[in-house]
Amino acid sequence: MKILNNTVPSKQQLMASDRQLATVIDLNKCMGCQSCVVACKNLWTEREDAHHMRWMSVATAPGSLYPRDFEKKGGGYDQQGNAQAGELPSMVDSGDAFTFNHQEVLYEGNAQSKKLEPTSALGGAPEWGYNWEEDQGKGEWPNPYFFYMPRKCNHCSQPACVDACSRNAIYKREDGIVLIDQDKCEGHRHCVAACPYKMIFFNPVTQKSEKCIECFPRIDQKIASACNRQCPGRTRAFGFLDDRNSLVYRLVEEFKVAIPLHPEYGTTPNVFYVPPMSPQAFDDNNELTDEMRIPDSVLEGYFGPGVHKALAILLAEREKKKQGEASELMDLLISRKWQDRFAEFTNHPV
Amino acid sequence: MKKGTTTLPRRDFLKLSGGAVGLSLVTLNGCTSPSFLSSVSKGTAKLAYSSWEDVYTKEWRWDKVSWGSHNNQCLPAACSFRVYSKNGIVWREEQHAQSDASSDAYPDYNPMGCQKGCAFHNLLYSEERLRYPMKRAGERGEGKWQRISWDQALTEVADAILDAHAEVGSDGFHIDSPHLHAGSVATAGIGRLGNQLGAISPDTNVAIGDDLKGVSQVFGKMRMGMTSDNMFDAEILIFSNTNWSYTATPMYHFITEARYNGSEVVLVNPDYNPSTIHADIHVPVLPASDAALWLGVSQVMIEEEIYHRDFILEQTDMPILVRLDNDKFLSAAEIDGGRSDQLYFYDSGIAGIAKAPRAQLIYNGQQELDGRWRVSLKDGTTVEVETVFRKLKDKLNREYTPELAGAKCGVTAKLIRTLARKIATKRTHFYNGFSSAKTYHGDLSERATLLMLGLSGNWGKPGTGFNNFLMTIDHVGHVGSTDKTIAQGKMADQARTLQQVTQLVKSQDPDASEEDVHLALAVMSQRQSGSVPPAIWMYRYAGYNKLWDRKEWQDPALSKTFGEYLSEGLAKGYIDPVYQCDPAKQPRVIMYQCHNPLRRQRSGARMYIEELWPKAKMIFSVETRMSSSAAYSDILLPAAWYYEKMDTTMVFAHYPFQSMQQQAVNPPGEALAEWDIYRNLMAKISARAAARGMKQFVDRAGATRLYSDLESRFTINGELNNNRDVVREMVAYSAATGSFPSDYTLEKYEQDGQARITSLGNSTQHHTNASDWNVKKPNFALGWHVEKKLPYPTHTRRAQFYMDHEWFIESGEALPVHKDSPPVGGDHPFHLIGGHARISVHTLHMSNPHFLKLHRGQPVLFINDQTANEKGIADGDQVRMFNDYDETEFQASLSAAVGRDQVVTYMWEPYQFKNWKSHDAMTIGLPKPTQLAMNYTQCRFHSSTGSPNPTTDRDIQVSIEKVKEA
Repeated sequence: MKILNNTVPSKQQLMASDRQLATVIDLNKCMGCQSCVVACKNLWTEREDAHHMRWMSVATAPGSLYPRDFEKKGGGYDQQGNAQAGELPSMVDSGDAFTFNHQEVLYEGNAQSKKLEPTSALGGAPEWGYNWEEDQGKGEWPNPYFFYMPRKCNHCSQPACVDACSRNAIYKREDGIVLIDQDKCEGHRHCVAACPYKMIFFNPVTQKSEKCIECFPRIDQKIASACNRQCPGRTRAFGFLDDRNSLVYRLVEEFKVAIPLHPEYGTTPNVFYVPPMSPQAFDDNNELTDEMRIPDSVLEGYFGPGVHKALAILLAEREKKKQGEASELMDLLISRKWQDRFAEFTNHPV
Repeated sequence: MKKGTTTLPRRDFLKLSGGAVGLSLVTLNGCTSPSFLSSVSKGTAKLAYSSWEDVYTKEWRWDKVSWGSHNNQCLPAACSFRVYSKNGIVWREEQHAQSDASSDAYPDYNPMGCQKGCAFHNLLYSEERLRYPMKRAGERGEGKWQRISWDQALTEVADAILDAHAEVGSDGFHIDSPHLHAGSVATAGIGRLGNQLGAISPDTNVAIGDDLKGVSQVFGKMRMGMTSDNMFDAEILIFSNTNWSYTATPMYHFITEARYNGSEVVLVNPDYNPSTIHADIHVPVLPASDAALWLGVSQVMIEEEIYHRDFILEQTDMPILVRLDNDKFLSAAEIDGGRSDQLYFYDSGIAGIAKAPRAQLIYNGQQELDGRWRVSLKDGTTVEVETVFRKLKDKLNREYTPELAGAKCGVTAKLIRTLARKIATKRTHFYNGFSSAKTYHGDLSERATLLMLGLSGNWGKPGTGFNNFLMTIDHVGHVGSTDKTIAQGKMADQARTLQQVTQLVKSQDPDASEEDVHLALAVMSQRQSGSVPPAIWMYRYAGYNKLWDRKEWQDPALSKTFGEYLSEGLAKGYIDPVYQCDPAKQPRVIMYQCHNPLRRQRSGARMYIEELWPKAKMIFSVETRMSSSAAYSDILLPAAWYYEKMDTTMVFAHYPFQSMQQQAVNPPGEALAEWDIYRNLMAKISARAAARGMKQFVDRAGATRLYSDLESRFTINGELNNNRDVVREMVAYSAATGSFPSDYTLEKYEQDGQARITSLGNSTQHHTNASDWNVKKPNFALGWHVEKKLPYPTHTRRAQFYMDHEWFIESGEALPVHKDSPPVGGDHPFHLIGGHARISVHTLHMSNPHFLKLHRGQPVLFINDQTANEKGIADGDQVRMFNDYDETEFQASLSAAVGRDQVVTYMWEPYQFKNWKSHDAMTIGLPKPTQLAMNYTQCRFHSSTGSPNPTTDRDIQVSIEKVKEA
């Protein structure tokens, strides 16, 4: 963010950044383990007023994802660049914040008459919650299908949240990280409505909006953000998008196999996904076919038409490896040295 | 003590600092702050909002950073973590992530550690955490507790143990299969305690059901493994009976990366389990029908002559001769009065039978693979014999053509043929999880799997093998049993013992291998340890005779019940009487450490509560958390958890490192490290015995032991006084046996945080794995047999597919076959399958709110969506699941990933269910009685293997219905 003398910054200034940090998430590696989620939660939102927030989330796709049905809640821009109205997710949409009855079950002399069970933050049995649709997916036996959808703030290049904030409390750092100034935020939640990915969460105690900060205190020490570094599936690549040596650049710009989620939302997101190569489908006679079982239309619904080309490249390069030939792309996706995934952000956090 | 309530919590910190700063800036300066203005006016607007950003930056500063890991006994249970603490509280942990690859050609191991490890500290401060010694104040399990002092707690426990000694003998004190969860030091500690008090204990690993009987039947051993990078060399990766994305999370990337490297990934599971999403091929076998699949694949290999003839001639029993008249191997006892385990080939070069080599595998003749001949016995009679291969081929052609096998396993003949052709021509790696060991006929499925791997020459070479779980815990075993430290000369003693055992074994069998000697030593050690076969223990003491002798639930091919096999086995000497579990000596005191039998033991929620525990005058538990089972204790002794005591991990080959665990913080309340608890208990027993005038007791072996020196024997006269002493001793042991460099020390270990193992030491597993350990290359099992031609430790000295024990013959299982699961619990329409949960190792994390908020927070049962619709069950409905024996309730989760007649669930804590009764209560766990053939070479009982698994619960038949709302 570059600010001119003694002025209230313009939206353009708040949105500007010299460079852009980006994350690539490889869906051919993501096993839905939630390690990124607990890494983030323990670092930033393991507090009473933030239990409902998952700055980092993983949900089973297809499904209503997280926050629930965010794809139906508006925000972002249309093709002409006009801001679109959006609605706010409820506490339950945000995954709820269950509480549990350990005392009653274990220590109050109730023998086996009480069981440990969740209570919704709104009271009563939960109606829905975080990761409610875990491992359900879609399709019909013997061709069920699903994949995991890890999501966090996209730190967009055209962040609708910055645009929408009536307090000018949201800005991009020079490295492209989008932050909400907790001093300036007054909790109007225009940003929540404007974000088409619904990756901003309202804190009912502080009455402010909060979101992923891309672990900037770590970034400032050249340590990869926690969700990226702590992913045991080695799904993540992280770095500056203009760094030609970075894995993010090579996967996004050079090989074009990492593509954004819902590019049609118009915010130019900076989290990119390597789309899933799913198992071979069975035909009506239960014989194996050469077709992948996740329908093209489903993937296109998430990643836009660019997904077909990305998958074609992946399959062609993998075929080379199957034939015993070299493939630089496959070797990049493997990353024999894990740290090669993180460009300059390879410091260890001690 | 909940994190954030007793010390300055992060939220308050934010409120106090960030909130206060915010207030001043906003009210005094409108929407811009002085610092902001000053920085922009200088044109250096970088981090202009640093005042508020500092709140986040400053929040994450620590008093202390320590080494941590988790002895969870997941796979691999040795991940190295950095543990961050402030104000005596652990706030977070993060993977150390500096575990190098074997070489640049392979992926490295980083960042080892999963969601369970990355959030472990949340368990330390949860409401189920135990903090003070407690005594029950109501009925057992009523949930009424009274806090008591350590002195009172230990006095009551000590008196109860002394009472048991007086009333029953030392075997009136039972330590019910303690899990290794408590850590290396605690496991060694409870081992010493049990050894020195003469207690008996069901073998933990067998009690868990992590014993692959079929693998032992074929190879004579079960513990074999690989380093994870071996998968990178495979052309085909097959996973079966497992769900790695849940259970091997930190190593899962080796699969996805091998796939990118060109390997084909095949998952064989009844359901489309969550690991299947990254496969190329899902083979949707019907539940518990894997044997039929692999027998079909084997038939194709033989039919199409794509099997590896030289490999099976050399490595397997395929050319060994079997008599047609009695289905037994032809032995030298019948030919020339020689050994009954000297078996024969037919050699066409000499046109007659020839003795199969026993000392090694090479045979310099022309042994025939396929044929039938007449042979004269020493008594002058003539019998017809044929090779195992001939027997097998005929059987496969009769019963397991792809069409016939496919009808049994639900896989098309075409796919069976496709798999056979791929496997026969490519380097195939097969990972088999422990679900087969929890399936009644899982031994048959394992034998069939190994058959097709043998026919395709797929073991003992890079990128191949049948891999499961190679674990070395000899540093734990050493401390658990030794009377001397390494510094006092233990290694010399050990070498002497080995020499004596070698002489003994060689005197009985001059062809015995070093591996045979080590296995014989393991058998002897087990005999002396007080370990007993869990199935026999449960049958005799926990009332399981009421379940396992029900004829209507047993395999229809068997004429006898479990109890009848047990009696016959004892009468015929198949079972060593030391393992009979004398019904006259019922348990008086039962001790628990990290064991939750209401979940783990099938139908434990009925049998333990109704049958076993009422026999005990004292049940005491050394626990970190209140499990459903701990809630039934008379006395609860609170233990320190990981991060609260010094410890070291065990070694699992998949991740060839040991990790250091430092004490980052003090345990909460009055909790103590288990070692301290046991040392104090030993002292207390001595004191109480003295006060009661009791001087000595006689142990099971008839030896007299004094009460007065229990503490000094426990600590070896103060050498092993605390966890630090013990870890130092474990490091010394690892250095002395070559698992660590010979000059390695505790101090170096504390500096490094983790140590790559340099070998498997001198452990039994080193021999059963049978491969040279190489730190620069991927490791795999069975290389010594394939490369060095060493014999297998089986009856036939080869990988053995034909079992000529009379019980195997009478049950129709001499050759691997497919059998449907017996109707345990009655005939019902749905097949129950499942296994470990994603976010918990067993139930360790399952009742913790942090983890409970990662899913629905309550037990769910996955049901096929179409089936559910037909039954009027909607997602989120409560469903009742039942069989003839018991019932439970779940929330329904509908998914097409589950077959039409399957229901899938994972592990839950019983107190998450109505009446604290999980599905485990209805699973019965019927052990397979033929596995009582413990006299057969490869069915012997030793540490962690042998004797029936009392844990069969996969493919139990159940019914489901929607719970009608009241």
